[in-house]
Amino acid sequence: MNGAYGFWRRRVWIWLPPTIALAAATLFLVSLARGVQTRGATLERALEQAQRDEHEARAALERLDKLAAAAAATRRETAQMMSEKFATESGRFTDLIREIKLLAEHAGLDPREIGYPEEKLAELGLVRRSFVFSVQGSYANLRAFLYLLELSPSFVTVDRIEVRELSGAKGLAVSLQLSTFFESSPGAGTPRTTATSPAAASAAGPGRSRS
Amino acid sequence: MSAARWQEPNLSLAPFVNERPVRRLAATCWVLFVLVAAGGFWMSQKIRRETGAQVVELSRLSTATADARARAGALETELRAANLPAQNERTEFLNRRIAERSFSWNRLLETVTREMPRGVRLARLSPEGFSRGRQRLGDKRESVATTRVALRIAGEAEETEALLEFVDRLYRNPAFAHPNLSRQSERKDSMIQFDLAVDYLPTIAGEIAAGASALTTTLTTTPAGGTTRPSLTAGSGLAGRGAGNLAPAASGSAGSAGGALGAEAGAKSAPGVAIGTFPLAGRDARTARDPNAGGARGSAYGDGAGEPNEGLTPEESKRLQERADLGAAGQKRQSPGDAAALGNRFPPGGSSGNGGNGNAGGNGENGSGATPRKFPFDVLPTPLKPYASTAGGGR
Repeated sequence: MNGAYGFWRRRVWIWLPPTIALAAATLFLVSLARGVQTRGATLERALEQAQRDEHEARAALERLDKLAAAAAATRRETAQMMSEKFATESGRFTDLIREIKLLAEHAGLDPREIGYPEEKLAELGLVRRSFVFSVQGSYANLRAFLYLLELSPSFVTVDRIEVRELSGAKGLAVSLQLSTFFESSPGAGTPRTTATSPAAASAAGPGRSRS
Repeated sequence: MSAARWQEPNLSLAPFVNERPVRRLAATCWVLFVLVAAGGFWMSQKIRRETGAQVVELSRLSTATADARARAGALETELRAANLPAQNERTEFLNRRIAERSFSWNRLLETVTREMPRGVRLARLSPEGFSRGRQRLGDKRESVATTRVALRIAGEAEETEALLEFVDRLYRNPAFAHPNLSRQSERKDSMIQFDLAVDYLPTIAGEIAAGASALTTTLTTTPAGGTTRPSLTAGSGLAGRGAGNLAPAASGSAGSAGGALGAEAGAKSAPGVAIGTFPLAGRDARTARDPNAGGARGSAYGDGAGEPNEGLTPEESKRLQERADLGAAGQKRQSPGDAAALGNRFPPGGSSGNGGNGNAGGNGENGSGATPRKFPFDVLPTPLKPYASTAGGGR
């Protein structure tokens, strides 16, 4: 036994270097495999996380893009509507009066007194102008007037209709309140209320109080 | 030679030792080492290639994420600066005004008077919904006028039975909901004054009107009595025109003539409704045609009772769909330009073409899920409702 041991020990320079090299290579291979496994898993996780992050960021960006686009579209449409339908008072007011009177005449109504109460909606940059008047006529005249008004390209809304039958079968007394909006002009002063007749102004009262 | 060799002296220094097993082992180890080293090298190269791709991908994703976040941050800043809540408030206000503008008083009068029995007349008709809309700018309700309008009706009846019949008819008509007779009092002249609140559903009224307009009235004159009898047939285009000319009792006022001015003419030839009592035409007026159904056919403005998307090109549908995606609650948006374009696409008197009514509302309140989202995600821009173009009327 001693002899064999001594034999191998005496020839250690022959077998030890390759054995050490083999062991080192094996160790390297094993550690490489384990490292790869660990690093691979880590990388995989990092990649998944990065993909999630990227997906979320992209989704958020998409949402914000859509929001911004929608907001821009709304702003654009609002501006278009403001310029087309709610142009300034100086540009539309008298035309509207003419139009309403014309439509009333076409419908067989004759508004003799018209009140024009005004209400400022400062926070919206708008001014509401009402047209309050009373007319006499038939139900058909009223329907025709409303019909013409609905067809009108102007932005005029009907706020209130009150009908009273006149004695002696003379038809109906119709009280109407229409209104429109104007874009506030930059130098507009304080709110004012204008009415050509006290009756018209008082007729505008309830409507205004509800406003 | 060989015979004498074994007798030669042994001059070797050491005895013979067999080293071959050691050398074999060493050689085997070297071979294995080479194999293992080669395997390791190959594996490391392979891993480097694989992880290299992953690392590049990781780097790309990180860059893309950072880029997206930067752009999102910029957009968020932009949206904050845009002050969406204020913009929404303004848009909602405008939407309510558009809804008011799109509201058809003619159809309302037509619908109400159709339900009025003889002996009942209206004195005042006011849509409360409009007033409330004006009062509260921040009111979130969507298009009051096109969905449900609270009406307050004041009137008088010749007898209680007529009034009750009126209320019953309101209950039966799907265009009205929750009729509430709030007061009735008898005057000295035995007339009964009443106040009534009822919810009016313009959309349903429009559908009913559209359904009714599919059937047009053909009037035939009976020689004996000289009176006219309304009968409904499909596809006849005579509608109320003939009524205005032929039948005072059934003429149905303004709708009897095509076009606006014709409505006036028709009205003048309609004693059935021109006698001063507001809607006393009552049952007779049932045969009357809505001016929208008669005269309005000549115009480009429909009654807005139908599907707004019918007849759209795929591009328009896609645009609408894209916009619908923006608002939760299936909001469909059309730009004013769209509305104008679409309005012209629909046959007059058909469906849509009507700015406000063609709009499926729904204010895209964001995030129906449980997790609340932060601004600006929690504030969706309220879209402006489509409104008829400058070329056309408000409806």
